[in-house]
Amino acid sequence: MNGIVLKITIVALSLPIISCGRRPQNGQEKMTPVQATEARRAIAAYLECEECDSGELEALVKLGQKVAPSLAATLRDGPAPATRELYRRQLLAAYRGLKEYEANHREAKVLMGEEKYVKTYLDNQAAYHRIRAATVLAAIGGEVARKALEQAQEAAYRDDVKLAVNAALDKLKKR
Amino acid sequence: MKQQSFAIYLAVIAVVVAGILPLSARPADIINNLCIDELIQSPGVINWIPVGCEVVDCCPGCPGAPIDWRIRVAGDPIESVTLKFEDLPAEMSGKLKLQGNAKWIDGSTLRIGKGEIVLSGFILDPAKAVPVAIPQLNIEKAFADRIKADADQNHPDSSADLGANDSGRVELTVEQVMGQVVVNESKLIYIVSSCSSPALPESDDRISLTGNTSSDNAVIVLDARRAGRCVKDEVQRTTGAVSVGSVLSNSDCNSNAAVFSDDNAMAFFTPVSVWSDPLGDLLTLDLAPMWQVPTTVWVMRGPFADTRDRVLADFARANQLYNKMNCGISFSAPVINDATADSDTPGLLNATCPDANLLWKRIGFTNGRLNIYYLNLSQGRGWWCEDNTILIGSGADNESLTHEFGHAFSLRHSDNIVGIGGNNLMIAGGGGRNYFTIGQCFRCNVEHNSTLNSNAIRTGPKRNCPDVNANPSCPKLAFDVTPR
Repeated sequence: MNGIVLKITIVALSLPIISCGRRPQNGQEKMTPVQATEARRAIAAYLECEECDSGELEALVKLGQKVAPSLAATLRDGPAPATRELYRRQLLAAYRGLKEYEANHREAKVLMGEEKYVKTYLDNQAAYHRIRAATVLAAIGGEVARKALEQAQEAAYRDDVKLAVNAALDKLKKR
Repeated sequence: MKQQSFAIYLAVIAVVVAGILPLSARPADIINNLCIDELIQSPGVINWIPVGCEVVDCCPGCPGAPIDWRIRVAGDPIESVTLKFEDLPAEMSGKLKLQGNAKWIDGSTLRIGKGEIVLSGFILDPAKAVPVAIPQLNIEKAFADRIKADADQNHPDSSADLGANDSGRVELTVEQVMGQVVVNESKLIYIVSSCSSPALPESDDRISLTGNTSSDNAVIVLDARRAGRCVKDEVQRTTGAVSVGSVLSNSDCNSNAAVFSDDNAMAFFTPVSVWSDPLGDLLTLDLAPMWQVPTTVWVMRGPFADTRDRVLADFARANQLYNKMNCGISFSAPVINDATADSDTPGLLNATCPDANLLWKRIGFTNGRLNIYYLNLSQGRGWWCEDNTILIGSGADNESLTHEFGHAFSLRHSDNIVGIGGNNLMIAGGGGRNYFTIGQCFRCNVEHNSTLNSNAIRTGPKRNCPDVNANPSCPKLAFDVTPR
């Protein structure tokens, strides 16, 4: 019994040491699969939080440089294709339901056509992911964050994204 | 012994030390409440599972390997689950490897039996459409027969717990893994119910509805006394009148009736005093038109025409959801003000709740109504600031306004509440939020703190029913009824 427990102890204690000792080529600190899964969940929760008052930002700041490259990628590329596709299908279903509902409920008239409805909210999603990424990168700081924000400043993003990027860079400079 | 205790203590410490990262909760399960007849006759599409990562680089330091699906199917009601893939290239489906109790029906349709299978080798081409799996349940005939028989025998006068045997639960879990990292995950829960009530003689006690605007199959939630017990949250369904067996005089039992119906206000009758011990009592419940919530919108983010169209789309969605979910609340045509050219707007475009005073003074505010400001709001998609004030940001989704209205009607976030799914409208984020529970609709209406009551929009009995309250005079927050 004692032997087994001690073996578990040795293995568990050695995990962080092994992890810290290995760095992948991009300079990102190596995570175990469980840690990477948890980090991905934390990123996803923050990118789509409604009021963002449940510690979503703080969870990512705690992870710090480990998640900075993922957030830089989000700032550059927006939502993942699978996430965007899921939302596109949800929007299509919602729009078609609204049009059915509108037939008997004039107070619920939707002026937009289907294509514009879907595009409006998909664009909002993309902008929101970038705004959230810019915000947390400013809070994390460091070289990866600075480079990502400077590149975003040059990109042709929506005005609200640009405002968030500029605010993030200002914050970064004051750190 | 001491040595062993010390070793265990050391092991616990070690595991804690090894856990460098704080654990982040799994995403909430998606809950689908289904009627068995509808499920068999016209299953429809209600969920989608896209192939690919949830975040754009998959995970911090992800290996960039192909994606494998670990699929688990569980639950008595089903024989199997079918996944119909759309936009799955033929050359990819031919290369996918399958392990476990599953079989391709054709190049894009996979039938999976109960248990766990692995479908491995998805390599995505970013230039092509994202493949998406659409699940469909294949119900066991024996379950369908049993559930219908149970419903027919489920007499309300029986001492059996209503609902104990009249539903089944199916779980479909898909974990998408890259190497050993879970890069996307979906857990779909299907609660399958009979949704039909036994036909009882007209000589029984009865409930009759008047004013049922759309003659829909309204939900009646009854607290009353039956033989030897008080019943709480007993569900009856009718478009007009229904026999309810023998309801006895109230004695020490609560006696209420709440009615939830499309195109009508939620009606709450308390106390109900018509019940007597002999059969033949008639409870008549008059339904009124939906409550009309007056709103004023201040459009600060331009161009005005674009934002106005979004405002109307958001309101349409809110109207649809609060009605179809039987909350009985409507948002009459909002007064929409163009504040895009207001000289104070640029300085307040990123206002947050602590700036509400400035918004009221400089942009505008109408007393006694919900005031909604459409602005940039980098701190979230939307906020309920109390004091009849809602902020909607430029990144809001198509259900953010509906969610914030929920806060205005006293609801809190429903994350981590047993029995409430990740698709509930009061979840604190995500997409595809599409339902309120009956327990939530009850609170929107009767809770003292709901603006329906504080703005004197609604008349009728009120209750102290915060979300977490176990008050016996309120249904549980997760209490729900299918279909609506």
